[in-house]
Amino acid sequence: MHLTQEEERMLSGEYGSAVQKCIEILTAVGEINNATEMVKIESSHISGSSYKEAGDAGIKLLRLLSAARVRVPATLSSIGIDVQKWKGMKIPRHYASKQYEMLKLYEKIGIISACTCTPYLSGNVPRFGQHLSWTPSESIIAANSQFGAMTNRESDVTALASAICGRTPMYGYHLNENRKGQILVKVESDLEDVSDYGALGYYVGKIAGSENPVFEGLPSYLAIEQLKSLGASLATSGAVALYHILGVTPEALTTDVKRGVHERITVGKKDIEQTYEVLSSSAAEKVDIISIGCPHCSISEIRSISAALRNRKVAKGVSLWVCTSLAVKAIADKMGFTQAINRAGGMLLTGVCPHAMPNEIYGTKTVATNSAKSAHYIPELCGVNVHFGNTRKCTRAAISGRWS
Amino acid sequence: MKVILKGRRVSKGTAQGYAVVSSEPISFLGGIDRETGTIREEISGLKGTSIAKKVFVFPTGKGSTGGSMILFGLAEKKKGPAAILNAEADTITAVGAILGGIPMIDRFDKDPVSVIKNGDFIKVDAEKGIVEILRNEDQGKGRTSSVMCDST
Repeated sequence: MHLTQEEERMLSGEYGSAVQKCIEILTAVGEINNATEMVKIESSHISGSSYKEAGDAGIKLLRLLSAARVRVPATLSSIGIDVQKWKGMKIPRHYASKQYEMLKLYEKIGIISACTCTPYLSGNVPRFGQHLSWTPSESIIAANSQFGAMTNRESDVTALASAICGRTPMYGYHLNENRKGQILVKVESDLEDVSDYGALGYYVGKIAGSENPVFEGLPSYLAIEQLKSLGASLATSGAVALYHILGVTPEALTTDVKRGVHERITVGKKDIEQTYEVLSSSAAEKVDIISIGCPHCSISEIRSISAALRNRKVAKGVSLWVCTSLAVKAIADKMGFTQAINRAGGMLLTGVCPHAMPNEIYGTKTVATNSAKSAHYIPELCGVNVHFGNTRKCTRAAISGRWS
Repeated sequence: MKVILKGRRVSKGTAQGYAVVSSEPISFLGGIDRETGTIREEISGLKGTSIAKKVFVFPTGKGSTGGSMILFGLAEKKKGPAAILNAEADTITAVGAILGGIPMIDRFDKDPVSVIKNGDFIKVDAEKGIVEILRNEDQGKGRTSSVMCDST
Protein backbone atom coordinates (compact mmCIF):
# COMPACT_ATOMS: atom_id res chain seq x y z
CA MET A 1 0.00 0.00 0.00
CA HIS A 2 1.31 3.45 -0.89
CA LEU A 3 1.34 5.75 2.14
CA THR A 4 1.73 9.53 2.05
CA GLN A 5 4.44 11.25 4.12
CA GLU A 6 1.84 12.18 6.71
CA GLU A 7 0.65 8.58 6.96
CA GLU A 8 4.26 7.39 7.31
CA ARG A 9 4.69 9.87 10.17
CA MET A 10 1.63 8.39 11.90
CA LEU A 11 3.02 4.89 11.38
CA SER A 12 6.43 5.81 12.80
CA GLY A 13 4.84 6.93 16.05
CA GLU A 14 5.46 10.66 15.57
CA TYR A 15 1.89 11.43 16.73
CA GLY A 16 1.99 8.98 19.65
CA SER A 17 1.19 5.33 20.14
CA ALA A 18 -2.61 5.68 19.91
CA VAL A 19 -2.43 7.21 16.42
CA GLN A 20 0.23 4.64 15.49
CA LYS A 21 -2.07 1.77 16.51
CA CYS A 22 -4.92 3.26 14.48
CA ILE A 23 -2.90 3.70 11.27
CA GLU A 24 -1.49 0.16 11.70
CA ILE A 25 -5.09 -1.10 11.75
CA LEU A 26 -6.08 0.92 8.69
CA THR A 27 -2.98 -0.18 6.76
CA ALA A 28 -3.59 -3.84 7.55
CA VAL A 29 -7.27 -3.55 6.57
CA GLY A 30 -6.21 -1.84 3.34
CA GLU A 31 -3.68 -4.53 2.48
CA ILE A 32 -6.11 -7.35 3.24
CA ASN A 33 -8.61 -5.75 0.87
CA ASN A 34 -6.03 -4.95 -1.83
CA ALA A 35 -6.29 -1.17 -1.43
CA THR A 36 -3.37 0.72 -2.90
CA GLU A 37 -3.88 3.95 -0.98
CA MET A 38 -5.85 5.73 1.74
CA VAL A 39 -8.62 8.23 1.04
CA LYS A 40 -9.31 11.22 3.30
CA ILE A 41 -12.72 11.03 4.95
CA GLU A 42 -15.10 13.88 5.72
CA SER A 43 -16.91 12.40 8.69
CA SER A 44 -17.14 9.38 10.89
CA HIS A 45 -19.99 7.80 12.81
CA ILE A 46 -19.04 5.32 15.48
CA SER A 47 -20.77 2.43 17.23
CA GLY A 48 -19.44 -0.02 19.77
CA SER A 49 -20.55 2.49 22.29
CA SER A 50 -22.83 0.06 24.10
CA TYR A 51 -21.31 -1.57 27.17
CA LYS A 52 -23.39 -4.69 26.54
CA GLU A 53 -21.59 -5.27 23.23
CA ALA A 54 -18.10 -3.94 23.92
CA GLY A 55 -17.70 -5.11 27.52
CA ASP A 56 -14.65 -4.37 29.64
CA ALA A 57 -12.38 -4.92 26.62
CA GLY A 58 -14.13 -1.95 25.00
CA ILE A 59 -13.33 0.28 27.98
CA LYS A 60 -9.68 -0.87 27.98
CA LEU A 61 -9.38 -0.09 24.29
CA LEU A 62 -10.86 3.39 24.73
CA ARG A 63 -8.45 4.11 27.59
CA LEU A 64 -5.62 3.01 25.31
CA LEU A 65 -6.75 5.33 22.51
CA SER A 66 -7.89 8.25 24.67
CA ALA A 67 -4.58 10.07 24.17
CA ALA A 68 -5.57 10.65 20.53
CA ARG A 69 -8.05 13.15 19.10
CA VAL A 70 -10.31 12.87 16.06
CA ARG A 71 -9.24 14.64 12.86
CA VAL A 72 -12.73 14.82 11.30
CA PRO A 73 -16.24 15.49 12.63
CA ALA A 74 -17.35 12.30 14.36
CA THR A 75 -20.56 11.30 16.14
CA LEU A 76 -21.39 8.46 18.48
CA SER A 77 -24.18 5.99 17.81
CA SER A 78 -26.83 4.91 20.30
CA ILE A 79 -25.74 3.42 23.62
CA GLY A 80 -27.07 0.93 26.18
CA ILE A 81 -28.91 3.29 28.53
CA ASP A 82 -31.12 6.35 28.30
CA VAL A 83 -28.65 9.15 28.84
CA GLN A 84 -31.09 11.27 30.84
CA LYS A 85 -33.31 9.00 32.88
CA TRP A 86 -31.67 5.61 33.33
CA LYS A 87 -32.33 5.70 37.06
CA GLY A 88 -36.08 5.57 36.49
CA MET A 89 -35.64 2.49 34.33
CA LYS A 90 -34.10 0.22 36.96
CA ILE A 91 -30.85 -0.13 35.00
CA PRO A 92 -28.30 -1.87 37.27
CA ARG A 93 -25.94 0.75 38.70
CA HIS A 94 -22.83 -1.20 37.67
CA TYR A 95 -24.00 -1.30 34.05
CA ALA A 96 -24.86 2.39 34.02
CA SER A 97 -21.52 3.45 35.48
CA LYS A 98 -19.54 1.38 32.93
CA GLN A 99 -21.68 2.82 30.13
CA TYR A 100 -21.11 6.32 31.44
CA GLU A 101 -17.33 5.77 31.59
CA MET A 102 -17.35 4.69 27.93
CA LEU A 103 -19.31 7.78 26.97
CA LYS A 104 -16.82 10.08 28.72
CA LEU A 105 -13.85 8.37 27.00
CA TYR A 106 -15.44 8.85 23.57
CA GLU A 107 -16.04 12.51 24.38
CA LYS A 108 -12.40 12.88 25.46
CA ILE A 109 -11.29 11.62 22.03
CA GLY A 110 -13.42 14.42 20.56
CA ILE A 111 -16.42 12.41 19.43
CA ILE A 112 -19.78 14.16 19.69
CA SER A 113 -22.09 12.08 21.87
CA ALA A 114 -25.12 12.45 19.61
CA CYS A 115 -26.00 8.92 20.78
CA THR A 116 -28.12 8.04 17.79
CA CYS A 117 -28.17 5.61 14.87
CA THR A 118 -29.78 8.35 12.74
CA PRO A 119 -26.98 10.96 13.01
CA TYR A 120 -28.30 12.58 9.82
CA LEU A 121 -31.25 13.81 11.92
CA SER A 122 -28.81 15.25 14.49
CA GLY A 123 -26.36 17.29 12.44
CA ASN A 124 -23.99 14.70 10.93
CA VAL A 125 -25.41 14.77 7.41
CA PRO A 126 -23.55 13.00 4.59
CA ARG A 127 -23.31 14.65 1.17
CA PHE A 128 -23.36 13.00 -2.25
CA GLY A 129 -20.00 11.53 -3.21
CA GLN A 130 -18.28 12.15 0.14
CA HIS A 131 -15.96 9.48 1.50
CA LEU A 132 -16.91 8.51 5.05
CA SER A 133 -16.12 5.89 7.64
CA TRP A 134 -19.39 4.92 9.28
CA THR A 135 -20.89 2.18 11.41
CA PRO A 136 -23.28 0.56 12.57
CA SER A 137 -25.06 -1.21 9.73
CA GLU A 138 -28.26 0.91 9.65
CA SER A 139 -26.23 4.14 9.56
CA ILE A 140 -23.86 2.75 6.88
CA ILE A 141 -26.71 1.80 4.56
CA ALA A 142 -28.41 5.18 5.09
CA ALA A 143 -25.20 7.09 4.25
CA ASN A 144 -24.60 5.06 1.08
CA SER A 145 -28.18 4.80 -0.15
CA GLN A 146 -30.23 7.76 1.09
CA PHE A 147 -27.40 10.25 0.61
CA GLY A 148 -25.11 8.71 -2.03
CA ALA A 149 -22.04 9.10 0.19
CA MET A 150 -19.40 6.35 0.22
CA THR A 151 -18.58 4.18 3.21
CA ASN A 152 -17.56 0.59 3.71
CA ARG A 153 -19.14 -1.62 6.35
CA GLU A 154 -16.81 -0.44 9.08
CA SER A 155 -16.51 -2.06 12.49
CA ASP A 156 -16.52 -0.19 15.81
CA VAL A 157 -12.74 -0.23 15.81
CA THR A 158 -12.06 0.67 12.16
CA ALA A 159 -14.49 3.61 12.23
CA LEU A 160 -12.79 4.92 15.38
CA ALA A 161 -9.32 4.42 13.85
CA SER A 162 -10.46 6.29 10.72
CA ALA A 163 -11.84 9.19 12.75
CA ILE A 164 -8.51 9.48 14.60
CA CYS A 165 -6.40 9.27 11.40
CA GLY A 166 -8.89 11.15 9.16
CA ARG A 167 -8.54 8.41 6.54
CA THR A 168 -9.78 5.05 5.42
CA PRO A 169 -8.33 2.54 2.96
CA MET A 170 -9.68 3.07 -0.57
CA TYR A 171 -11.54 -0.11 -1.53
CA GLY A 172 -15.05 -1.56 -1.65
CA TYR A 173 -17.87 1.00 -1.62
CA HIS A 174 -15.40 3.87 -2.10
CA LEU A 175 -15.02 2.71 -5.72
CA ASN A 176 -17.84 3.38 -8.21
CA GLU A 177 -17.42 -0.06 -9.79
CA ASN A 178 -18.67 -1.67 -6.56
CA ARG A 179 -21.76 0.54 -6.26
CA LYS A 180 -23.73 -0.83 -9.20
CA GLY A 181 -27.07 -2.48 -8.54
CA GLN A 182 -26.88 -6.26 -8.76
CA ILE A 183 -30.35 -7.59 -7.94
CA LEU A 184 -33.39 -5.94 -9.48
CA VAL A 185 -36.33 -6.11 -7.05
CA LYS A 186 -39.76 -5.51 -8.50
CA VAL A 187 -42.18 -4.58 -5.71
CA GLU A 188 -45.77 -5.62 -6.42
CA SER A 189 -47.28 -4.94 -3.02
CA ASP A 190 -48.74 -1.75 -1.59
CA LEU A 191 -46.63 -0.61 1.33
CA GLU A 192 -47.54 2.06 3.82
CA ASP A 193 -46.23 1.94 7.37
CA VAL A 194 -42.53 1.95 8.25
CA SER A 195 -43.04 -1.67 9.30
CA ASP A 196 -44.07 -2.62 5.73
CA TYR A 197 -40.79 -1.21 4.45
CA GLY A 198 -39.00 -3.06 7.24
CA ALA A 199 -40.65 -6.31 6.14
CA LEU A 200 -39.67 -5.61 2.52
CA GLY A 201 -36.05 -5.00 3.51
CA TYR A 202 -35.94 -8.09 5.69
CA TYR A 203 -37.31 -10.26 2.88
CA VAL A 204 -34.92 -8.86 0.25
CA GLY A 205 -31.84 -8.78 2.53
CA LYS A 206 -32.01 -12.56 2.94
CA ILE A 207 -31.82 -13.02 -0.82
CA ALA A 208 -29.33 -10.22 -1.51
CA GLY A 209 -26.66 -11.25 1.02
CA SER A 210 -23.98 -8.62 0.45
CA GLU A 211 -25.12 -7.60 -3.04
CA ASN A 212 -26.70 -4.24 -3.93
CA PRO A 213 -30.47 -4.38 -4.56
CA VAL A 214 -32.21 -1.98 -6.96
CA PHE A 215 -35.90 -1.45 -6.21
CA GLU A 216 -38.45 -0.62 -8.84
CA GLY A 217 -42.16 -0.05 -8.37
CA LEU A 218 -41.87 1.99 -5.16
CA PRO A 219 -43.56 5.41 -4.98
CA SER A 220 -41.40 8.44 -5.67
CA TYR A 221 -42.64 10.29 -2.57
CA LEU A 222 -40.96 7.94 -0.07
CA ALA A 223 -40.30 9.59 3.29
CA ILE A 224 -37.02 9.41 5.17
CA GLU A 225 -38.77 7.26 7.83
CA GLN A 226 -39.66 4.62 5.24
CA LEU A 227 -36.14 4.68 3.78
CA LYS A 228 -34.40 4.27 7.13
CA SER A 229 -36.67 1.37 8.00
CA LEU A 230 -36.01 -0.33 4.64
CA GLY A 231 -32.25 0.12 4.98
CA ALA A 232 -31.99 -1.06 8.58
CA SER A 233 -33.78 -4.32 7.81
CA LEU A 234 -31.82 -4.97 4.58
CA ALA A 235 -28.72 -4.78 6.76
CA THR A 236 -30.28 -7.09 9.36
CA SER A 237 -31.19 -10.21 7.37
CA GLY A 238 -28.39 -9.55 4.89
CA ALA A 239 -25.05 -7.78 4.82
CA VAL A 240 -26.41 -5.13 2.45
CA ALA A 241 -24.55 -1.79 2.63
CA LEU A 242 -26.12 -0.06 -0.37
CA TYR A 243 -29.47 -0.11 -2.15
CA HIS A 244 -30.91 1.99 -4.93
CA ILE A 245 -34.55 2.94 -5.60
CA LEU A 246 -35.33 3.96 -9.16
CA GLY A 247 -36.59 7.53 -9.19
CA VAL A 248 -35.80 8.10 -5.51
CA THR A 249 -32.22 7.63 -4.25
CA PRO A 250 -29.51 10.02 -5.50
CA GLU A 251 -27.34 7.55 -7.40
CA ALA A 252 -30.40 6.08 -9.12
CA LEU A 253 -31.24 9.61 -10.30
CA THR A 254 -27.76 10.35 -11.64
CA THR A 255 -26.34 7.05 -12.95
CA ASP A 256 -27.59 3.89 -14.62
CA VAL A 257 -27.67 1.78 -11.47
CA LYS A 258 -29.21 -1.16 -13.33
CA ARG A 259 -26.06 -1.78 -15.40
CA GLY A 260 -24.73 -4.50 -13.07
CA VAL A 261 -27.99 -6.40 -12.57
CA HIS A 262 -27.60 -10.18 -12.93
CA GLU A 263 -30.67 -11.37 -11.02
CA ARG A 264 -34.31 -10.30 -10.89
CA ILE A 265 -36.86 -11.00 -8.18
CA THR A 266 -40.44 -9.97 -7.53
CA VAL A 267 -41.85 -9.27 -4.08
CA GLY A 268 -45.61 -9.67 -3.68
CA LYS A 269 -48.18 -9.14 -0.96
CA LYS A 270 -47.81 -12.74 0.26
CA ASP A 271 -44.04 -12.37 0.73
CA ILE A 272 -44.59 -9.31 2.92
CA GLU A 273 -47.30 -11.04 4.97
CA GLN A 274 -45.09 -14.09 5.49
CA THR A 275 -42.22 -11.87 6.65
CA TYR A 276 -44.50 -10.43 9.37
CA GLU A 277 -45.14 -14.02 10.50
CA VAL A 278 -41.47 -15.02 10.39
CA LEU A 279 -40.51 -12.03 12.53
CA SER A 280 -43.27 -12.55 15.12
CA SER A 281 -41.79 -15.00 17.57
CA SER A 282 -44.41 -14.61 20.31
CA ALA A 283 -47.79 -16.32 20.55
CA ALA A 284 -48.72 -14.53 23.80
CA GLU A 285 -51.78 -12.30 23.70
CA LYS A 286 -50.59 -10.10 26.55
CA VAL A 287 -47.80 -7.62 25.81
CA ASP A 288 -45.54 -5.94 28.38
CA ILE A 289 -43.24 -3.65 26.40
CA ILE A 290 -43.96 -1.69 23.22
CA SER A 291 -40.69 -0.69 21.59
CA ILE A 292 -40.74 1.96 18.85
CA GLY A 293 -37.76 3.80 17.40
CA CYS A 294 -35.36 1.39 15.71
CA PRO A 295 -33.83 3.17 13.87
CA HIS A 296 -34.37 6.21 16.10
CA CYS A 297 -37.65 8.09 15.55
CA SER A 298 -37.84 11.28 13.53
CA ILE A 299 -39.88 14.22 14.82
CA SER A 300 -42.73 13.21 12.47
CA GLU A 301 -42.91 9.72 13.93
CA ILE A 302 -42.99 11.14 17.45
CA ARG A 303 -45.77 13.50 16.45
CA SER A 304 -47.92 10.62 15.12
CA ILE A 305 -47.40 8.56 18.25
CA SER A 306 -48.26 11.44 20.54
CA ALA A 307 -51.39 12.06 18.44
CA ALA A 308 -52.41 8.38 18.65
CA LEU A 309 -52.15 8.60 22.44
CA ARG A 310 -54.32 11.73 22.75
CA ASN A 311 -56.92 11.25 25.53
CA ARG A 312 -55.71 7.66 26.00
CA LYS A 313 -53.65 5.89 28.64
CA VAL A 314 -51.02 3.22 28.28
CA ALA A 315 -52.39 0.06 29.96
CA LYS A 316 -51.37 -0.62 33.54
CA GLY A 317 -48.15 -2.61 33.76
CA VAL A 318 -47.27 -1.93 30.12
CA SER A 319 -44.18 0.08 29.15
CA LEU A 320 -44.18 2.16 25.97
CA TRP A 321 -40.67 3.05 24.80
CA VAL A 322 -40.28 5.59 22.01
CA CYS A 323 -36.55 5.85 21.23
CA THR A 324 -34.96 8.91 19.65
CA SER A 325 -31.91 11.16 19.86
CA LEU A 326 -31.30 14.02 22.29
CA ALA A 327 -31.54 16.53 19.42
CA VAL A 328 -34.93 15.31 18.16
CA LYS A 329 -36.25 15.10 21.71
CA ALA A 330 -35.40 18.76 22.23
CA ILE A 331 -37.81 19.59 19.40
CA ALA A 332 -40.40 17.14 20.77
CA ASP A 333 -40.16 18.92 24.15
CA LYS A 334 -40.71 22.28 22.46
CA MET A 335 -43.72 20.97 20.54
CA GLY A 336 -45.31 19.34 23.58
CA PHE A 337 -45.05 15.82 22.08
CA THR A 338 -42.86 14.56 24.92
CA GLN A 339 -45.36 15.78 27.52
CA ALA A 340 -48.24 14.16 25.59
CA ILE A 341 -46.45 10.81 25.55
CA ASN A 342 -45.57 11.14 29.25
CA ARG A 343 -49.15 12.09 30.17
CA ALA A 344 -50.38 8.93 28.49
CA GLY A 345 -47.92 6.89 30.53
CA GLY A 346 -45.31 6.28 27.82
CA MET A 347 -41.63 7.23 27.77
CA LEU A 348 -39.63 9.13 25.17
CA LEU A 349 -36.18 7.60 25.58
CA THR A 350 -33.04 9.34 24.37
CA GLY A 351 -29.76 8.01 23.08
CA VAL A 352 -30.60 4.39 23.74
CA CYS A 353 -30.75 1.38 21.43
CA PRO A 354 -33.48 -1.00 22.62
CA HIS A 355 -31.34 -4.11 21.93
CA ALA A 356 -28.39 -2.74 23.85
CA MET A 357 -30.26 -2.33 27.12
CA PRO A 358 -29.30 -4.85 29.82
CA ASN A 359 -31.33 -8.08 29.79
CA GLU A 360 -32.52 -7.42 33.36
CA ILE A 361 -34.86 -4.79 31.89
CA TYR A 362 -36.53 -7.41 29.72
CA GLY A 363 -36.81 -10.31 32.16
CA THR A 364 -39.37 -12.73 30.71
CA LYS A 365 -41.60 -10.11 29.15
CA THR A 366 -43.24 -9.99 25.73
CA VAL A 367 -42.31 -7.15 23.41
CA ALA A 368 -44.23 -5.61 20.50
CA THR A 369 -42.41 -3.54 17.90
CA ASN A 370 -42.91 -1.86 14.52
CA SER A 371 -39.24 -2.43 13.64
CA ALA A 372 -38.18 -5.48 11.62
CA LYS A 373 -34.65 -5.01 12.91
CA SER A 374 -35.80 -5.03 16.54
CA ALA A 375 -38.06 -8.03 15.87
CA HIS A 376 -34.97 -9.90 14.65
CA TYR A 377 -32.50 -8.83 17.33
CA ILE A 378 -34.56 -8.60 20.54
CA PRO A 379 -35.12 -12.39 20.78
CA GLU A 380 -31.43 -13.05 20.01
CA LEU A 381 -29.83 -10.35 22.15
CA CYS A 382 -32.36 -9.83 24.93
CA GLY A 383 -33.80 -13.33 25.25
CA VAL A 384 -37.52 -12.47 24.91
CA ASN A 385 -40.15 -13.02 22.21
CA VAL A 386 -41.71 -10.31 20.07
CA HIS A 387 -44.78 -9.37 18.08
CA PHE A 388 -44.00 -7.49 14.87
CA GLY A 389 -46.71 -5.24 13.44
CA ASN A 390 -47.42 -1.78 12.10
CA THR A 391 -47.22 1.40 14.17
CA ARG A 392 -51.01 1.63 14.65
CA LYS A 393 -51.15 -1.94 15.94
CA CYS A 394 -48.29 -1.18 18.34
CA THR A 395 -49.89 1.95 19.79
CA ARG A 396 -53.21 0.07 20.13
CA ALA A 397 -51.36 -2.68 22.01
CA ALA A 398 -49.84 -0.05 24.32
CA ILE A 399 -53.34 1.14 25.22
CA SER A 400 -55.02 -2.27 25.55
CA GLY A 401 -52.07 -4.33 26.77
CA ARG A 402 -53.08 -6.98 24.23
CA TRP A 403 -51.87 -7.94 20.78
CA SER A 404 -54.84 -8.29 18.47
CA MET B 1 17.00 -28.51 9.05
CA LYS B 2 13.65 -27.03 9.79
CA VAL B 3 10.59 -26.22 7.73
CA ILE B 4 10.28 -22.58 6.93
CA LEU B 5 7.12 -20.91 5.62
CA LYS B 6 7.20 -17.39 4.25
CA GLY B 7 4.21 -15.07 4.29
CA ARG B 8 3.03 -11.50 4.69
CA ARG B 9 3.06 -9.64 7.98
CA VAL B 10 -0.40 -8.60 9.16
CA SER B 11 0.42 -7.72 12.79
CA LYS B 12 3.96 -7.18 14.00
CA GLY B 13 5.92 -9.05 16.66
CA THR B 14 7.63 -12.36 17.38
CA ALA B 15 6.35 -15.32 19.38
CA GLN B 16 6.56 -19.06 19.80
CA GLY B 17 4.30 -21.82 21.00
CA TYR B 18 2.56 -25.08 20.18
CA ALA B 19 0.18 -25.14 17.24
CA VAL B 20 -3.61 -25.47 17.38
CA VAL B 21 -4.83 -26.02 13.81
CA SER B 22 -8.40 -25.63 12.58
CA SER B 23 -9.20 -26.49 8.98
CA GLU B 24 -12.39 -24.42 9.27
CA PRO B 25 -12.82 -20.62 9.48
CA ILE B 26 -13.06 -19.13 12.98
CA SER B 27 -15.59 -16.70 14.43
CA PHE B 28 -14.14 -15.21 17.61
CA LEU B 29 -17.58 -13.88 18.64
CA GLY B 30 -19.41 -17.00 19.76
CA GLY B 31 -16.70 -19.43 18.63
CA ILE B 32 -14.20 -18.70 21.41
CA ASP B 33 -14.96 -18.24 25.11
CA ARG B 34 -14.18 -14.60 25.88
CA GLU B 35 -13.00 -15.34 29.43
CA THR B 36 -10.89 -18.49 28.99
CA GLY B 37 -9.84 -18.64 25.33
CA THR B 38 -11.40 -22.10 24.94
CA ILE B 39 -12.89 -23.14 21.60
CA ARG B 40 -16.67 -23.45 22.03
CA GLU B 41 -17.72 -24.70 18.62
CA GLU B 42 -17.35 -28.20 17.21
CA ILE B 43 -14.73 -27.28 14.64
CA SER B 44 -12.02 -29.67 13.46
CA GLY B 45 -12.50 -31.72 16.64
CA LEU B 46 -11.15 -28.82 18.71
CA LYS B 47 -14.13 -28.10 21.01
CA GLY B 48 -12.77 -27.55 24.52
CA THR B 49 -9.19 -26.86 23.33
CA SER B 50 -7.61 -23.65 24.62
CA ILE B 51 -5.95 -21.22 22.22
CA ALA B 52 -4.28 -19.34 25.08
CA LYS B 53 -0.54 -18.90 24.40
CA LYS B 54 -0.83 -21.23 21.37
CA VAL B 55 0.01 -20.50 17.75
CA PHE B 56 -3.49 -20.54 16.31
CA VAL B 57 -3.61 -21.67 12.68
CA PHE B 58 -6.83 -21.43 10.60
CA PRO B 59 -7.79 -20.58 7.02
CA THR B 60 -9.51 -17.25 7.68
CA GLY B 61 -11.89 -15.49 10.09
CA LYS B 62 -15.65 -15.09 9.77
CA GLY B 63 -18.65 -13.77 11.67
CA SER B 64 -19.42 -10.56 13.50
CA THR B 65 -17.04 -7.60 13.69
CA GLY B 66 -17.43 -7.87 17.49
CA GLY B 67 -14.85 -10.67 17.15
CA SER B 68 -12.04 -8.08 17.07
CA MET B 69 -12.95 -6.97 20.59
CA ILE B 70 -13.09 -10.59 21.83
CA LEU B 71 -9.57 -11.21 20.55
CA PHE B 72 -8.31 -7.94 22.08
CA GLY B 73 -10.02 -8.79 25.39
CA LEU B 74 -8.39 -12.24 25.46
CA ALA B 75 -4.97 -10.71 24.81
CA GLU B 76 -5.51 -8.24 27.67
CA LYS B 77 -6.31 -11.17 30.01
CA LYS B 78 -3.21 -13.08 28.79
CA LYS B 79 -5.60 -15.71 27.39
CA GLY B 80 -5.03 -14.82 23.76
CA PRO B 81 -3.08 -16.85 21.21
CA ALA B 82 0.72 -16.33 21.07
CA ALA B 83 0.41 -15.79 17.31
CA ILE B 84 -2.10 -16.23 14.47
CA LEU B 85 -1.35 -17.79 11.10
CA ASN B 86 -3.98 -17.61 8.35
CA ALA B 87 -4.12 -18.70 4.74
CA GLU B 88 -5.89 -15.40 4.01
CA ALA B 89 -6.39 -12.83 6.77
CA ASP B 90 -9.79 -11.22 7.26
CA THR B 91 -10.38 -7.75 8.69
CA ILE B 92 -11.99 -8.88 11.96
CA THR B 93 -9.12 -11.12 13.05
CA ALA B 94 -6.46 -8.70 11.80
CA VAL B 95 -7.90 -5.77 13.77
CA GLY B 96 -8.13 -7.89 16.94
CA ALA B 97 -4.55 -9.11 16.50
CA ILE B 98 -3.15 -5.59 16.01
CA LEU B 99 -5.08 -4.26 19.02
CA GLY B 100 -3.94 -7.16 21.18
CA GLY B 101 -0.31 -7.00 19.99
CA ILE B 102 -0.60 -10.56 18.67
CA PRO B 103 1.85 -11.32 15.82
CA MET B 104 -0.05 -12.44 12.70
CA ILE B 105 1.02 -13.60 9.22
CA ASP B 106 -0.99 -14.65 6.13
CA ARG B 107 -0.57 -15.42 2.40
CA PHE B 108 2.18 -18.03 2.85
CA ASP B 109 4.12 -19.73 0.09
CA LYS B 110 2.46 -22.97 1.27
CA ASP B 111 -0.92 -23.49 2.97
CA PRO B 112 -0.21 -23.31 6.73
CA VAL B 113 -3.42 -25.23 7.56
CA SER B 114 -2.21 -28.35 5.75
CA VAL B 115 1.52 -28.05 6.51
CA ILE B 116 1.27 -27.36 10.25
CA LYS B 117 -0.04 -30.13 12.53
CA ASN B 118 -1.60 -29.84 15.98
CA GLY B 119 1.14 -29.85 18.58
CA ASP B 120 3.97 -28.73 16.26
CA PHE B 121 6.23 -26.21 17.95
CA ILE B 122 6.18 -22.98 15.97
CA LYS B 123 8.47 -19.96 15.97
CA VAL B 124 6.87 -16.88 14.44
CA ASP B 125 8.70 -13.79 13.26
CA ALA B 126 6.04 -11.49 11.86
CA GLU B 127 8.58 -8.74 11.16
CA LYS B 128 10.20 -10.95 8.53
CA GLY B 129 7.00 -12.87 7.72
CA ILE B 130 8.76 -16.12 8.61
CA VAL B 131 7.42 -19.21 10.42
CA GLU B 132 9.66 -22.04 11.60
CA ILE B 133 8.04 -25.44 12.21
CA LEU B 134 9.54 -27.97 14.62
CA ARG B 135 7.58 -31.23 14.55
CA ASN B 136 6.36 -32.46 17.90
CA GLU B 137 7.46 -36.14 17.74
CA ASP B 138 11.01 -35.04 16.97
CA GLN B 139 10.94 -32.54 19.79
CA GLY B 140 10.37 -35.44 22.18
CA LYS B 141 13.52 -37.13 20.88
CA GLY B 142 15.46 -33.97 21.46
CA ARG B 143 16.22 -33.25 17.82
CA THR B 144 14.68 -31.61 14.84
CA SER B 145 14.56 -32.96 11.36
CA SER B 146 13.31 -31.85 8.03
CA VAL B 147 9.67 -32.26 7.19
CA MET B 148 8.62 -32.24 3.59
CA CYS B 149 6.02 -29.62 3.32
CA ASP B 150 5.30 -30.18 -0.34
CA SER B 151 3.96 -33.64 0.49
CA THR B 152 0.61 -32.06 1.26
